[in-house]
Amino acid sequence: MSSRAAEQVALRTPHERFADGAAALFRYAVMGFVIAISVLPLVWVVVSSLETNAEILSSALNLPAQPSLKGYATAFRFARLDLKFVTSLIVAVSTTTISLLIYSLAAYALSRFRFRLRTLVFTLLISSILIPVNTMVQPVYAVVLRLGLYDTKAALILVYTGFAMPLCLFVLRSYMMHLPYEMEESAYLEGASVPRTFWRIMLPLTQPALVSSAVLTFLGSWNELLYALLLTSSEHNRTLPLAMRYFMQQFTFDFSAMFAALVIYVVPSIILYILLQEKIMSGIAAGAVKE
Amino acid sequence: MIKPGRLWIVLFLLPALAMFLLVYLGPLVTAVTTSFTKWNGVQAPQFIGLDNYLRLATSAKFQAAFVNSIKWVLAAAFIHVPFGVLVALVLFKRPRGWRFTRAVFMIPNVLGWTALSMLFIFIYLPDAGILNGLIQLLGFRDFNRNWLYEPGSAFTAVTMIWLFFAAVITLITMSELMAIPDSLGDSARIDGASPLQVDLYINLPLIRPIVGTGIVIAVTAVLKAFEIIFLTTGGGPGNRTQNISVIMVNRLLNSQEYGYANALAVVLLVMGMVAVLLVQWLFRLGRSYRE
Repeated sequence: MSSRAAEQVALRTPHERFADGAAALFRYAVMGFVIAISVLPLVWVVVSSLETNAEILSSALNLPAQPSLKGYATAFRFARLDLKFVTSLIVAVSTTTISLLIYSLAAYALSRFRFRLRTLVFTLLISSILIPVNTMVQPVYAVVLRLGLYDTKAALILVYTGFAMPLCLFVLRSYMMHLPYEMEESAYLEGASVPRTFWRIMLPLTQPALVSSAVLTFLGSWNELLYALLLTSSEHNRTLPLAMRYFMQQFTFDFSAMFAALVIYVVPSIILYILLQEKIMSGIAAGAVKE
Repeated sequence: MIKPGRLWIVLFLLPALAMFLLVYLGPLVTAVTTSFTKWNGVQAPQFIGLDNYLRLATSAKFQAAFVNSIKWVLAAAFIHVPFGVLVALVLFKRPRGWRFTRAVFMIPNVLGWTALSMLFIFIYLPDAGILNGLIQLLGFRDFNRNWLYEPGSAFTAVTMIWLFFAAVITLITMSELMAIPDSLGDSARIDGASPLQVDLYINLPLIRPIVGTGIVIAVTAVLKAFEIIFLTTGGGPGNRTQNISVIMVNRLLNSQEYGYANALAVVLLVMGMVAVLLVQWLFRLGRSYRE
């Protein structure tokens, strides 16, 4: 607020000051509600995961008499969450790496190369955002079968890399378009090749957009359920979201293990979020407005 | 802009284009064409015209899912998005704690639908859940409700899983609000406008395009929602929470009616497009006041 407006505020009648107070109260009520719905359920799950099954059943609101990690041991041992954790990690990291590589190449071509079909190719690729991914479940399943990739991690990596396209392409291309051209120009004048200039000059400059795309791609892959359900069947290819579903069907008698399983599943996402909060928010904001 | 050799153009764009054909365009064509056939994936598809669509239109399951989709779209447009905008209007005034509030509001979005569904299953558990626990604490000792499985509460219970988690809307609205020049609100304040009037008559009209974008994002997201229903109620009790994606996936998993499943996919696709066009028409999108 500018100083003139601040003066105006200082000269307020009691009635207006009452209105200001009411507005402040309303603001904090909204903020309190937002914090409560976002944080309290998670805190409750973490606390409950440290209780014994009997404690959870006796009351929803008590604290553990003695924090116990038994739920975590059960989750790892009987549901083999360790195995699924590794599978999820392999799939998510591979998807992220491959997506960054192929979409930064495409983004570079679409932001810097001059060729006839440029606008058409960009419009075509970005139109993928209009197709809701669950409308293609059966045909994608057929493609995966035909490629002989059913029940492999490669199938999931292939499909998730496809799903990462609109977001990565959009975020990377618009970032590259705003980068100055001088450094590349001097590289080209000195005789550097296209791939070398891309790799040595463009990619390092694009780093902030690469990080944004990477976390969002990672999270998308980490949280995907539908395709994982349809494209895999054996224990060592099933990802964590599927393990969560399995838990809810099979372990309904062991609440501490169920609560612990959820905590194990969300910890990596929360760590990533804490480390890269600003990048995630800017990526989501940029990616959301692309429509 | 550079004009590289044709080889580089092709090499840089090829992986992304291949991905587009394999994961988007090819599957989309298959989905649309096979929706007019009877097909079990083994024998060749057999053309049956509009039969799948006629069967679908007369099925009670689909009718329930269709009505639910419309209810969810309305809830997204009239509760979810306005709540996100309200939080943005509150936080944009930078009250103490606004950064923290914005940061934690994002957490449920980072966790993904699978984790959120599981979290709410725990919240709604009849004997160990925190919702019944809190109600009992308020003095209703004998209160015990199975929120997700009783016909009276199932729809509201599944809707609550996403209804107030509008951080993406808040995020994009805030960045638009921050771009409004301070001078506009200040001069209105000097002319005697209250903060509420500044919000209503200056800020809201200025952010109208981004609210339209927010509605597009929210509406397309609820139309393709799958995990929330699949993991919690599976569409029950008695179709109360039935959902198009869930019917489609059940057809794929249980009865191999691929043509019918793809007809459902096409309906989903068309509903999404109609919703997007309708919102764009209502909000005359694509123009920001900044341009």
